[in-house]
Amino acid sequence: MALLELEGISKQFHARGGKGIVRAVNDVSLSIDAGETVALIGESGSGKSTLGRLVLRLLEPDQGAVRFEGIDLTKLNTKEMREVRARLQVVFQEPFESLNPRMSVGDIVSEPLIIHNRAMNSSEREIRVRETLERVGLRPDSATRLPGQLSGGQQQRVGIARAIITNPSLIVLDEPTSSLDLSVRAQILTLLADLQRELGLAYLFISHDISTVEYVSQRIAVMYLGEILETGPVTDVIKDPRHPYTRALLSSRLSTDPNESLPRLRLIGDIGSPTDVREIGCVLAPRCPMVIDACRDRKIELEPFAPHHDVACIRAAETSDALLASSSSGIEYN
Amino acid sequence: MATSPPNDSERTKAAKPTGQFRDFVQMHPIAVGGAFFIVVLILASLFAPLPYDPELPNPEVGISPPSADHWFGTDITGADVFSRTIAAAWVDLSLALAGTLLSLAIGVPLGLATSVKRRWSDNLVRGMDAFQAFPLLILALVLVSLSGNKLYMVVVAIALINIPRYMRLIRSEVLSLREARFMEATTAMGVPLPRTLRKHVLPNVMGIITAQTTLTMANAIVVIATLSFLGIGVAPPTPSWGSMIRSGSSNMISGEWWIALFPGLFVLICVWILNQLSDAISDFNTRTTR
Repeated sequence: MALLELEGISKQFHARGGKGIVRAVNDVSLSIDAGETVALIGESGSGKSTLGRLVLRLLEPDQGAVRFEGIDLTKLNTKEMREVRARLQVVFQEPFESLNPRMSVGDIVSEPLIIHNRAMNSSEREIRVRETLERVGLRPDSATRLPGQLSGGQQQRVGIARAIITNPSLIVLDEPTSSLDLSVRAQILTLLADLQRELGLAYLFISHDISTVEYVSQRIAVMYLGEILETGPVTDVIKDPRHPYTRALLSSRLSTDPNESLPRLRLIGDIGSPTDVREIGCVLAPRCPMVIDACRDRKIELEPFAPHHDVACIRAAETSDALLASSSSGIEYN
Repeated sequence: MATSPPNDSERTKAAKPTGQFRDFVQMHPIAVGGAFFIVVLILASLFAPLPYDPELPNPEVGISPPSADHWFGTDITGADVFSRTIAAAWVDLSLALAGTLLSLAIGVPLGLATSVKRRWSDNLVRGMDAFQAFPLLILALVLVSLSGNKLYMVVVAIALINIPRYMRLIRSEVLSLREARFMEATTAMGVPLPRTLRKHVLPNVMGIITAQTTLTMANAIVVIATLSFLGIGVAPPTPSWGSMIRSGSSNMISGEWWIALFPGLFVLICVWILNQLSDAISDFNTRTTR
């Protein structure tokens, strides 16, 4: 049984001004096994952070089930949910904003223990806080500091310490490295990988940047306008992307391999507005260089393309060939 | 750690309240000195032996300018202006403090409530806005005189003037705080609401409440002085700064400036100090979090 299973969850918001509906997340299913990292990739506005918040039940889904350790979280009341939260944690993108500026680092990191391990006395808590701070690479005496006295990287380590102190089994990482500079980013990624190995954590790693996640995750899910378009083992998806959108994302990244020769692909226009996503048809249809009439006729479901590799594209099998054939329409070669 | 530089240990202390107080004194010596002055003034007004009875007229002396015997001179009844000015400090400042605390006690919970329950509170907030459009000094005048010049009504009037201000301030602070990422983090941790209010909301609005409280206090002093200047509220012979300014104002033109000047100066100094204190608190507030 998977650690986390999302089953057809949807979330809609009413657009500002009362006109129209934003489909932030639309009928998404995804599963994460214990100890595994699943990367959730998408542009801003793709609904990936909303999906993270639905998993954490910071938002209530309109439809669908969020099963964590076999329990449907959407059916739990506040008290039952609180007990689950010890094992389901989050690290946010903005390290400083996610820490109360008036609490010392020690108080911030010990707060989950105060809530979830009530039997623990204060000296046991203090020992645990020191251990955890050391584990994330902070000096134990930084417990007396305020968040504002730390660097961005250190602040994010505090956020990670707060997330792991109650021994969670799953952590939602909502762009944990996006606001950090490159050298710090590498350190935090290494730390996250070490913690995963030592503590057997599973991660839902939300990012807009494929190159950040490709070395730390086992599986990848590509999201666009509230839907998952392609999902599979990270190596398969990156080496052989089958959805034109995945290919476009990969084209936009800087490659470290000079011999890599995937055909470049450019989408037409900008990311559409989630307010005018149509009921039927592929969400990418208005921008896709490979679009055919059939794409607009019916809802395109994720379908198995290869073992564990699902693609929501009716032309998945011909992606590479189609791109080669239609090189004149918005597709370039390296 | 033994190797940490001295600067390091200094910064670590900032998280403790005692260290914070010391930092505040170092950063804002004038405001702290001023606060000290007000405390001494109140204590003197309550306990210090005054050179003359502030309420006792002395026809033999009559009106006389400042001298070694009468530091601030004497007024038209021959009462010592210095004794009266100091004695008035307790009368004026205690009323101002009571009014401020009452508006704090009602305004802050109201602000918290209206920021949590938004549906019914929007109307309440709008009502309070309309209420604020009413000339508040006139309202205070009417209230106090209708009650037959009861002192507690002065306190109520000050509270009525200031409750909407507190409510608006707290409400807007908490509403913006609710959007803060660390509040989302408390939900994700499963922090119960009472603890969230106590540990996350209140410490983050405390600074702004304190700053507003000192401002309210300054405002209350002016309101009380205005009321007693108009002959409402504190009634003679009980000394109050406002009534002293009034009784001295008729003598200004004939050159007896000391009767109105000294109480006026005390109002000015107290209001100035409280404004300085408010500035200092808000400044300290932003500096310690960034």
